Amino acid sequence: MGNTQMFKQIVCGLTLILLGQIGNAETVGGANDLATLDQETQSLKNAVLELNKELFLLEEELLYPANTQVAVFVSMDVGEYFALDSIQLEVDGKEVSNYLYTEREVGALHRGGVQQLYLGNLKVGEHELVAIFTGKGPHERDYKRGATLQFSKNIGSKFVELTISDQENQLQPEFVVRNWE
Amino acid sequence: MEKITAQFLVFLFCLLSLSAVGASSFSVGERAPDFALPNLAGKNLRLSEYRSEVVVLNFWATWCGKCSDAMPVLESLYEQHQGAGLNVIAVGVDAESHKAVELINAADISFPVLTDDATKTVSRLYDLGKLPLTLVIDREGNVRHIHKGFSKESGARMMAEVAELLAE
Repeated sequence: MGNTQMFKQIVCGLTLILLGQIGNAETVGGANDLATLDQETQSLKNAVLELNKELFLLEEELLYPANTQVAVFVSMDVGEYFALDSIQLEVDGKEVSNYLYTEREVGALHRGGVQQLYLGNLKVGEHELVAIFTGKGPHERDYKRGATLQFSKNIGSKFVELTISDQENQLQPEFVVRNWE
Repeated sequence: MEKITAQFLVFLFCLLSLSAVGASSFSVGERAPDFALPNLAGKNLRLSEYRSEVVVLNFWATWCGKCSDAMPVLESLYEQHQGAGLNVIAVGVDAESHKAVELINAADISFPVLTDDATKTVSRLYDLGKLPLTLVIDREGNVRHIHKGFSKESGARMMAEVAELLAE
């Protein structure tokens, strides 16, 4: 069971417990003062929402602390010469993501969307990121290209962007991996 | 407040115990694990993109006789309720997808058929034990019914379950 899933279940559990309390309150106070009960319900609901928010922040901080966090994003600029099918991502020789793109997802990237492909942790030091792009190139030919980035991870978050764009002069796609400053 | 804390701790303990013994990857009432796979034409489909529609997800193989029996029932279900928001998705787990293509063409199947022939990631995700495995998934993406194997009775039950979910 993933940690994210566990956190969600904790939040659901807390919600159920608090709603259970509301249920008890309804039985006791229902006959006496509906207005007060309504206020209490509202304040409990707000408490649940607040708790939910705090748990999500805590989850983010615990799983991906700012000092070790690495995020990889994907964007597409035009993309006329390449129909994206999948991206395989390796960090220091280890596969961390292998993502298949649907038509709808490719459409969203064409419209300017940016996708978070990977979120993980890396220690301070030198690292290598390899992205392998698979799809259809010019003239509907199967196309597979890799792009590599050697980068230095310092203290603080690291953001990397994979961009697919067109090289108009060569009528070929171009794959760029770059650091976000 | 102390009571709430105690209840929370008990809940947390149960949760951690469950995760420690390695609970099944999904069960009735839980969100169906998301995945993307290519169909027989090479186009990728993602399960979560069918959210807001009822989905019948069927795992099958060409060497499984009961799977072939289930196909006409699934096709009839799809033809009957497609307009009302039903999607049938079959995931073939054969090692070679060309066998699946032959069978699907012969059976005149119109719903999407995906292949999990390369890495078997999705088969592992759904912990396939017995084939066919059919899941009835509601509009929220939660597994509502699980059918392991296939019989005329289970086919009829599936039809009733789908009709009920479409009416929700």
